[in-house]
Amino acid sequence: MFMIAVFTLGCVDKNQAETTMETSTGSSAQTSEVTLTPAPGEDIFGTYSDLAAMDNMSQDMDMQIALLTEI
Amino acid sequence: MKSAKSFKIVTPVIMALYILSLFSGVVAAQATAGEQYEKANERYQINKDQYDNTRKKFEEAKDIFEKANKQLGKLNDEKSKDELKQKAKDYLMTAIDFAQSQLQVVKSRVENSEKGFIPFDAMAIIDGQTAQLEQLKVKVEMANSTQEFRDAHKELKKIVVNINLETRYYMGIVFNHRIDNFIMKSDNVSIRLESAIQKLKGQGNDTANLEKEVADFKNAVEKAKESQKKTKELYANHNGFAIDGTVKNERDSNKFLEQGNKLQKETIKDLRQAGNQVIKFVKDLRKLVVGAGVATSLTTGGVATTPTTGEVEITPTTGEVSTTPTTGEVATTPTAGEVATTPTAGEVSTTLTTGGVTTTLTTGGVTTNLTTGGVTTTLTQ
Repeated sequence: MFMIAVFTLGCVDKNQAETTMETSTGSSAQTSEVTLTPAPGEDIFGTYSDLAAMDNMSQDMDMQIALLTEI
Repeated sequence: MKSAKSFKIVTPVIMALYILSLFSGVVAAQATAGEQYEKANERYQINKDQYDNTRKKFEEAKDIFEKANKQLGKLNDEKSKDELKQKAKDYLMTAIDFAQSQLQVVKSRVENSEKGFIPFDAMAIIDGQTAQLEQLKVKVEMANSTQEFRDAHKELKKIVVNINLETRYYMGIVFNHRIDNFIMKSDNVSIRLESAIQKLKGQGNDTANLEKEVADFKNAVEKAKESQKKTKELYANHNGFAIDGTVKNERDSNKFLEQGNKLQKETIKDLRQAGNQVIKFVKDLRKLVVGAGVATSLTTGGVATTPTTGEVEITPTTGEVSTTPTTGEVATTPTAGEVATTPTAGEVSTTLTTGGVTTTLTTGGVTTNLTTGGVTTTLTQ
């Protein structure tokens, strides 16, 4: 647990004081809001990974089969 | 050298433990995917890859058939007719494969989600449609005349209309449930963030930035709750769909799904805003903790520190953090296609005592005592 805390909180890092705001475009094709990307160990509540999973799911919701009108 | 390595690991760990201790009862989000989750995710990913492959083949076959139809459709020679029939057959077979792969992806989502909140037997509908497609495949294989291919195409269109609408409906229900879970978690997160601010304020820190981030977070969650309420009202009426989950009116069901989809996008937009605020909060919190300062010096065989006001004193030996889950946490069960989030087991339980924080753990754990103006962390074996 001790070592897990060390690595998952991303604390084995000289420069942890220097955090930068990384941004990424939402993975959903439908939206273009900017999502801030947490540095290792910053997604303490799992909110970022939850939202990434929901983006993934929303893409599945857009699955459609487009057949020809007639043959 | 060994001491230098220990120093590099232990000091940031103490900072991390301190940050965690601010969030009473919260746990660091460790992606501890269980074996069941791993298998479910593997199955989903296989189905998704299959979907992408079959979609590509379908689009190619459709394109080839359309071009061939334009070139050969008006010709009457046997060779041209045979060529066109073959391309029609390829188009139909790839379309059926594509439809089946879509059903498998949706099946993965539905069967790996929490049971009981889809109010009808979605799996039975999916299995029924899969069987219909299998039967149609046999018809297409045996078809010889242009009329038989056209009849098969008409039948496929009816099945596909239902698949397109019904799969969106099931996925919409699953998605609503996921949004509800996130909103519930956000309420919990809000309490933790406010608790952390109170503790930091008690230590004399300037928490204005953090307070603004929490306020923005709460506003975004409130907006999400409003649009989610409207979505759930729509889904409660499920216009165009029967109680058993099948389409009863194509136009109404399409309209309902479009309205629902629009609202869900609004909700996700607000939840993304809320998520951004949490990330900003944690980043600013880290800066605040680092700014408070950690004074340590290295001695042979260990780390000795000189604690001063606002500094961390550590006397490390090997040891471990033992954890006790608290009640009231939202445990999210990861489903196929997503990263596991907050684990249910394993968190630091903290007890706020007057003038400090005491983290009490079992034998072999960490005792953390907050002294006036600083943190004393003793790692014991």
